[in-house]
Amino acid sequence: MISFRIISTYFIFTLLIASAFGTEPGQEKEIISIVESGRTVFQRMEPDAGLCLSIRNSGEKTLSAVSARINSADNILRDKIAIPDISPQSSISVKIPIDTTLKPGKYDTGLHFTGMLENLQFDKEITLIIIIVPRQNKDEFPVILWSVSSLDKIKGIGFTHAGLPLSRNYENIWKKGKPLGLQSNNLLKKMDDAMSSGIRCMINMLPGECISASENLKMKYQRIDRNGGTYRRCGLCGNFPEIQNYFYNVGASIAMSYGKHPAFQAVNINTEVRDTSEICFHKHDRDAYITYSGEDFPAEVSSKRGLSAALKQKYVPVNGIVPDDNTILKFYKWFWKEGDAWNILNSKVHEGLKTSGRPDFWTFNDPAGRVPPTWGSGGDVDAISHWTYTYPDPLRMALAVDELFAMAKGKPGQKVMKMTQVIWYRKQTAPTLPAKEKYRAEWEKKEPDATFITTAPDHLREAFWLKISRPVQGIMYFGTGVLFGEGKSQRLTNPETLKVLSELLHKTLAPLGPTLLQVPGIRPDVAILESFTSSVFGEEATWGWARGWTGDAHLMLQWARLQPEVIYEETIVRDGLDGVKVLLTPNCSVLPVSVFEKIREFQRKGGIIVADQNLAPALKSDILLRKFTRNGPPDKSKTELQNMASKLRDELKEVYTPSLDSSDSDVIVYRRAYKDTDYIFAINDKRTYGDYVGHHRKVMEKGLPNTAELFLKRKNVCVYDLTENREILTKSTENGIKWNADLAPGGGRLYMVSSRPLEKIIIDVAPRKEDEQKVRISAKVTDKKLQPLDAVVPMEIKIIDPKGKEAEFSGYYGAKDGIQEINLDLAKNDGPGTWIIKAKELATGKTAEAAFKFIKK
Amino acid sequence: MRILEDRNKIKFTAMFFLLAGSVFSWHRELLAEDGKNIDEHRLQIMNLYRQGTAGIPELEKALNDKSTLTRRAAVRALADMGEPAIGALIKATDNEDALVRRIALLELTKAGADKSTQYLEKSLADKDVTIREDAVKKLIVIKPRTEEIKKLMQQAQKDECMDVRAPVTAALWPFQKEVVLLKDRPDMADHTARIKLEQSIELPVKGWKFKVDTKLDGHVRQWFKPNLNDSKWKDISIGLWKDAHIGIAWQRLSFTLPSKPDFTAVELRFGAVDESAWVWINGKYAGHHDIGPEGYNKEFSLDVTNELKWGEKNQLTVRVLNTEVGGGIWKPVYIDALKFR
Repeated sequence: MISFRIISTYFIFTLLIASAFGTEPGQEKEIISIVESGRTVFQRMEPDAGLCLSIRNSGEKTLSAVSARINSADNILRDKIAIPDISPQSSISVKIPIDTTLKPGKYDTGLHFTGMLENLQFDKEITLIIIIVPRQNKDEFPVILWSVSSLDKIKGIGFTHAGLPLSRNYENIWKKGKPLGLQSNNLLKKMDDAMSSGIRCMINMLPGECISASENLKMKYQRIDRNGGTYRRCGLCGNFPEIQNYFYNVGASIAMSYGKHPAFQAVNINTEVRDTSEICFHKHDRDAYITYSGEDFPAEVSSKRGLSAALKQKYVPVNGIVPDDNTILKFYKWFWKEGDAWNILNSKVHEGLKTSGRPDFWTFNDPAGRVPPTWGSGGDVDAISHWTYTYPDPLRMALAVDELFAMAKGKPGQKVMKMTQVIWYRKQTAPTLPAKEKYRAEWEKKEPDATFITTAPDHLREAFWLKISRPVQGIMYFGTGVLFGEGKSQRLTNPETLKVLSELLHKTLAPLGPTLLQVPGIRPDVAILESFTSSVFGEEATWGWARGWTGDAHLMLQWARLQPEVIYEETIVRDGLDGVKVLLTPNCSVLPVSVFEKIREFQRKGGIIVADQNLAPALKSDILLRKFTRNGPPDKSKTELQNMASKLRDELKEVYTPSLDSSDSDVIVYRRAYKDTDYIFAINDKRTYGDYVGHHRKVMEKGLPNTAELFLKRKNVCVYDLTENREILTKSTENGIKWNADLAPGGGRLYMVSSRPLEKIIIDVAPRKEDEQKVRISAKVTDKKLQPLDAVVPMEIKIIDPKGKEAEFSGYYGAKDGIQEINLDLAKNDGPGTWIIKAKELATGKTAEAAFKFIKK
Repeated sequence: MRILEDRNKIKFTAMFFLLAGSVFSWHRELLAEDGKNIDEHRLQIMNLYRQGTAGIPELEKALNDKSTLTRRAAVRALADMGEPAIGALIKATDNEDALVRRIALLELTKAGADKSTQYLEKSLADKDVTIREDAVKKLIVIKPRTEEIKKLMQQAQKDECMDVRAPVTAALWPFQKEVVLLKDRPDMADHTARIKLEQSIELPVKGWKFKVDTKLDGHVRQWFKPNLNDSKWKDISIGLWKDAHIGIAWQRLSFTLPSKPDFTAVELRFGAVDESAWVWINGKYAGHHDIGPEGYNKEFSLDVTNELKWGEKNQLTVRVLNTEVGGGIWKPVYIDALKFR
């Protein structure tokens, strides 16, 4: 028998053959090393799961008759594995299958290796921990932290996903010109760690950085201006075929290297690239446009932002209406869809990533809003997203997300996510440190040189409600430094914010998120047109910043409690304006004929145009609102815009009243619907200057409690407060119902309005043999006649095993059409006995319980 | 259904609803005088345009409808008819609703319209700022600029509202430069924290030349030329209101800059000029600061990245308008080299 010395880290097991070969103690020569080169954490029922090992024979003799077998009570490793002979000075990789049908848990596993070196036998057992985690609840609402911190900490706060750092050096992929496997052990290990902590992973991918980092490549591939010079802030020209192939190859390489790890679920593709986009004048760019239009680039174009106001007159007639094939308009349509190439490059990376074939893996692009108002930003990514600061008015969040929905209209099925910056720019919120210490806020005394500070807690809360009021499919936060105090320029200046975030994620989003994911938006009857054509001819666009007159007009509509839809010209041309009653047209001084005709038709059918003084003269508004420019502190601007909101409501009331309303302009209302069930959000925007940054008069950061009467134009309905799990008593009015809403500072409420009252919750366990491992459970929320509601009802389900522990699939759900089905796969090592199912609907808090028996075969 | 099922509360509820009815009155459908729904009535009025000239009398009547939106719909329909509806449109220029007047005046002042100048004049006299603004927009594009038009423009220059004054002043002013400061550049949005002040050079307080522009034609006489002989101009120092004037005056300074620093942009920063300033560097127009009298104590900057000569002598000319007490450059002037990092 040969003796071994094991040098064992968590990852590496090195077997040393020592004295048998005559070496002195302490001078052992490494003969056989076994390196665990893959994962040790697996998801339950994960197919093709295995422990990857690399075995190296550094000796002079062939290692033969090698095998590995399990030594574990639960047989987590399925079978004894025969390992091929290993020649001298060579390595082999082996994958030892893992049985992921076992119940979730930690498995102390012995891995027993035997083998022969000529006539010498080695025989050793290595212990390691293999973890099987429960499958993810597919209804869980994704909450992503842009970067990563302590996994336990972020799980504790309520995040579901974290952004992992990924090496951005793809030089080899560029050189080889094809997808390559990347050094993956370290990242796979991080993904393992995340998954065992209940966190899934997102990574940010910027393939272009690698090209820009090389001076030679940058010179060759950067965008050039009309004179062949370079731009001041200039990105890659994406119209080089080799660049497009490279972007695909990087995506495919990532998919090849990490794509099978269940924790790896999302990629943010090409963040922050659009700012560096400019019109590029390479021959291939011009040729691409000639192919598209039959013409060369127009002589006047030089900026991605369109023509200057001075050149406008040349192309725009006095009535403000241009042909749809106007030379300049045609060029910029091409540029923002294809010409600047970023949509194409995003699609290429997306396509490469999707070679993993994972249905649960999604791609997104954030910030997707750095473009004029047009469809298609982000390319083919699964979701578009955009980050927003909450100051000066958290309601800005809503415009950015409404714009994303307008953008995504051009790509049916594309989803929308929304990110909040938890960082605040010091310069824009609290710029000047008060000279006298007594006038400084507490944080200013402690962190006088902070560049970025923490978002005020009430702003974060309000921004949260605004985000989730829209049918977004995920939310995201940036700012580990200001949340956890882990940054240099980012400082933790308000610890309350993290507490608020945690509370919102645990108490609101976890229980209601699965429902929110399934409740679609409605088409509001108030729309705000953001005109691409006008932006091409000198009018300001928002570029995702939710500022300027368009941004303020959207704020004004919210304060007027007129739920606005952002609408783009392409949507008007394709879908018309049916269903819209009020159309606000800020900065719409130039329109294409097709859009003009649709709007004129809309007005002739009775639609109301609300416009500023610069509306294209061919159209004449029903209501005029003068373009608003901020001039003064935010409280003044808010008052002025709320006055404008009040004037608008007044002028509209002859012909239009909103079907959902609140009695207070600081209580914003928003409606979504599933079938005939309405989901009503009420969000409190009542704010004042507080003692955090209020003394700078840049932001009203302190929320105030508020109460309002809400009105809904529906009768004979039941209203449930989903945030408090209770039915609301309503009062009937002439044409609807009303009820009171008390709102915390920056807080919100979500009401479900059902045409049938919720009476019961019932659990059914489908008939089965007691030794059957598959168990089908159904929980129903019904009316008096036991008919399920036509609603998505939030529900909490607990599956309790015979030992009293919560089992896989316990959690929150959104019971669509009143029914939630769960299919359990009991494990062979699940305990026999009685299992209990508990369900609670979160509209009124009614509960139900059922049980089934499980006996082992 | 479940609305206050407690019968004992019915009486109280009824009283409450009576009170609440007034609060929620905006949810009722309003009725026109003849009992029709206002929206239906408005639609009927709008559809009168289909009748052509036969619809004019009814539309003209609707200009005084109780419903504001109906009146506006009527004037729109009349404007769409054009020439046959001129009479009704002229009447609409005296309507109490500003938007009705605006739509009528816009139609009557269309390029080539008969007596359009007369209605431009009427527009300029309207109490509604948007109507006056419309008139200015039209005036500034009219070519050739007849004496009558110039007179109207000069009248507009005296308007109480900056939104009316500014475009006409700009239209009459022969020097133009679109000034965008580094921090305001769209590509810098939200990156302003990365803009660092690399070097700031304060210009001398002494050594300035001063001349009052009594004929208001200094810009025509090119007093901004670098090689202008200003030796006979008055020597002054800035930073004081000692040389106060009302009206237009010019201030000039020659200065030498050190060698070129590393920068992304260079801005000329005035601590304050009382009240408005138009600035040239080395004979090139660099922009202006003109927000009216309230601008007297406001700091402002102009981008001069391409106008300055580093390591050489430079010439700065400032045309100052002052309408009230004081006047002139009265706070320090700096050249700021800014770097985006």
